[in-house]
Amino acid sequence: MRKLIKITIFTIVFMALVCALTICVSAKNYVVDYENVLSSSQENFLENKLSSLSEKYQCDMVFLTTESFNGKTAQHYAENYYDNNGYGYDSDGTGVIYVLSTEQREYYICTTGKANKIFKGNRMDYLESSILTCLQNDDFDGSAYAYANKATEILESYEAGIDTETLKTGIIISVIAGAIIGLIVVLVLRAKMNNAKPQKTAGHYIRNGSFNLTVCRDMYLYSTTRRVARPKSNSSGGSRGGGRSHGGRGGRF
Amino acid sequence: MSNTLLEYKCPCCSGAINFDSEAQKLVCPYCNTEFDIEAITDFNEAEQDGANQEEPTWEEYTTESGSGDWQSGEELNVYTCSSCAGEIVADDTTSATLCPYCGSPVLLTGRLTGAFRPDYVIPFSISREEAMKSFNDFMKGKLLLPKDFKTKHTTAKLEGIYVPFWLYDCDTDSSLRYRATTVRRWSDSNYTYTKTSHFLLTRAGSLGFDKVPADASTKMDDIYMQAIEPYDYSKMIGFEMPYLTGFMAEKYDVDPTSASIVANERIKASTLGEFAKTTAGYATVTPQSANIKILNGKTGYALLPVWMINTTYNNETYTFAMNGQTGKFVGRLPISTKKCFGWFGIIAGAIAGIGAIISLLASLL
Repeated sequence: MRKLIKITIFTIVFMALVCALTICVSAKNYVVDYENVLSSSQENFLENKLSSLSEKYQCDMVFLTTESFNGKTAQHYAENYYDNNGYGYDSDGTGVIYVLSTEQREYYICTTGKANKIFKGNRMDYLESSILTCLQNDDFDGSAYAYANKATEILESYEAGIDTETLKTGIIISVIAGAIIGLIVVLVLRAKMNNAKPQKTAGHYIRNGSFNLTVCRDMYLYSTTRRVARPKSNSSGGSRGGGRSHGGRGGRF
Repeated sequence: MSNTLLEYKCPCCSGAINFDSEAQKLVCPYCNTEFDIEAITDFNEAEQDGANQEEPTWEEYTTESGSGDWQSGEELNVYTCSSCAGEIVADDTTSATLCPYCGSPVLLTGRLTGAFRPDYVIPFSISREEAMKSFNDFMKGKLLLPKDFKTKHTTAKLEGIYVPFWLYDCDTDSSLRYRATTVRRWSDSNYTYTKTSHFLLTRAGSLGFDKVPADASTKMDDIYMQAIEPYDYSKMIGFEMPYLTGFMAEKYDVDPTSASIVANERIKASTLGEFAKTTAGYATVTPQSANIKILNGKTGYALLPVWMINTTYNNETYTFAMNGQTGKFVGRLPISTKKCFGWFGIIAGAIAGIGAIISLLASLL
């Protein structure tokens, strides 16, 4: 009997341990804040938001702050961290990690798998510019919220099958272009209604062959040279490793 | 050897540079720009030149300089409109019944006295029917013309009128200066460089003009008379009375000196244009000074053929003029505001619609 109880207890403890271990392994942290830019309430809020977003769209959305990149580039650090900490949905490891170092004033947004396609071009510009605006104002927690909010918008519009940003910009440009072209056409049509225009010159009455240029001198006076520093371009690129392909963008602020 | 000290203006910042005659190069104390001595002196001469402007002089027009007095048998009748005071002349065989300016039928007749005899005339080569056809053609394809204009406008009598013009011959002697720049850009790994070189261009020369016309009648709109130019002077002949038969003629009421103001401006503008063509090859060219002298100015007097159409629509008069020699037709037609908005709406809407469809296709994922 005691043996039975022992076996039962052992089994229960073993099962509990297995369960706990499974939960530990499967529970991903969507907010990893080594630099403590977020308060604990902010961290909880973002953790919930990013985790539900990840689950809903099957695309891990991770936010990581770190003091240093351990001698690697921001891009390598982000890719390694993402690959080595069990992130990513499906076999291609779909997801995004936004790595920020306030110490080094550098950031990187790394995309993996299907996220490479979702977060690119205009949509990546939109996400990056929102984050960068906050970073340039030293609003680091704001940049995390911007990351979560803009990523939600992008994933929603991608799910709906329409890139709302492109559509919105396209319609605004079309309306403005239509108004400008319409105005030009009407002005041209109006001009055609009145062809009684004064003659400002007497070109028709120049005596043939009478133009005689007696002095034609071009004298050098001085010169000025202006020097402008060339802008340093932000990094952007993709890499492939361990069956996953990464894309992304980052830079200093 | 004593040094002469002269003060010059810096071409770059307009600051004062004290000029030591022994020095070979100059540096502006304000903007640190380096100059050759020759560049500084030439530049400052140009500054002075700009102020010297001479008034053009035209030889006085008299019966001696022109075609002389009227000959016997060349008497003309003058018709004065009692409504608008417009004056027209016609020979004995042509009787004016309506004022060509206001359409009034009350005309007072008298004999022409005290006016110059024209030197030249260009006969009409466009017929009344061709003039009317040109008016109808002019209205074709005008998308903003009010729908009812063609039916509602009342065409006043179409009149062929010989309009008096003063014709000016002259030579010009000009000296001009321009500031010009060339720009060169290059870059290395860290910087982009822009080098702007400044130059002073000097041009001088002569240019001749023949028979620049200026409307000698206040009744005729100067703009319309300029718009129907040019006339083909190769068909211009000495004035003879028979050319007036069947047509009205305007009596000149602007003297040659007053009318020359417009001709002077046009001659100067054309001279500037001809010299500007010699300054090609620079990134920017800015005229700095221009001294244009009008020399050997001679005036002639000609009657040139014009078809005039006056029409009324919604209580407003619309005037059209046609060159009676070349057929060039000018005028102002009424504009329908409704049609302006309509076309704007159609074009803006169509482009916005097409753009929206393209945007939608481009945004599909």
